[in-house]
Amino acid sequence: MPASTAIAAEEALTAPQTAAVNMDEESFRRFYENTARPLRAYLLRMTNDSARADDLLQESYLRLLEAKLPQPMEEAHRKNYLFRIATNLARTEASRAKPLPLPGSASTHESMTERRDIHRLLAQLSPKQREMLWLAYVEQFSHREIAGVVGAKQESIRPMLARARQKLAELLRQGGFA
Amino acid sequence: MIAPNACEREPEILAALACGEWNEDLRAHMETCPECREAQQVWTYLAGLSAEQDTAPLPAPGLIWWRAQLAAKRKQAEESVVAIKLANKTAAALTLALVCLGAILWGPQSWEHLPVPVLGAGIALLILLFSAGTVLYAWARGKI
Repeated sequence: MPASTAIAAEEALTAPQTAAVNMDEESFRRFYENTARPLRAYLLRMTNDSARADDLLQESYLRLLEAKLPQPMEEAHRKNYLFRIATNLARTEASRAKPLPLPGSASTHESMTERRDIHRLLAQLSPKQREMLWLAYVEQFSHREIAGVVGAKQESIRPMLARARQKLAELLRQGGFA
Repeated sequence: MIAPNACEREPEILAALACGEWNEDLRAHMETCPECREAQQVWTYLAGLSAEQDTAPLPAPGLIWWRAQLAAKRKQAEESVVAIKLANKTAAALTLALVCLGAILWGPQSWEHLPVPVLGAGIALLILLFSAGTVLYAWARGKI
């Protein structure tokens, strides 16, 4: 590498100014505090593995920070964008990772067995159905927001969500949870 | 496959379930609407899952911030290296072009003996290369 090239690279790496991310540190910490727990809960239900969920969580925030987002951006929009990134990452991960046992599978305790069954119900839905139900029922996302996160048309969310809800309700009835 | 019914008031029901505030109208609707009762069952199940104690510590935000900074700086460094390499190549190409042109103009054959179109093309090429070099250099320095 020529000397001038090496010097420029060195200067860029040691530059004192904040590198080009789309938030300042204080805003990021505040945003993280408000969104990290819900996001991990979501990723945990999508992956059934806490280590994977934590990896995806970190990667989601990294990608969010690096993204070219319109400024200023409301926190709700930023959160939608974060969930969209996380959803895409979880799908990619699911397509290449081996399925893991559900939480608590090593325990023989009765309450653990029941918990495992409860988790298994959700695992019987398709990934998209899980995503939609979680976003609508737990995160209270609107149909428009869900469409943005899962990458579907807004008009199709209502029937798809109804189908997912019907399927989960049926599973709950079969499992004796309803 | 027939799409299952989806009640228009389901979002209202979900909001009421989440915040616990019900009005009489919504309560009455809930009693008569099978879709909304089903939505309530599903909400209760999912809310139970989301309320499960998550005591594991979250990854430190400072670490994520630091990684993002590092990645951004690395990207900046890569971009500046690309720009400098491009500027170097442009300068080399310009020098070569000038040498070639000089050889044509002041070489064994004097320029006076060259046909006018060749001379014109040579000068046009020189101007074009100089302009392109200037633009690329300015772009590489981030001035445009």
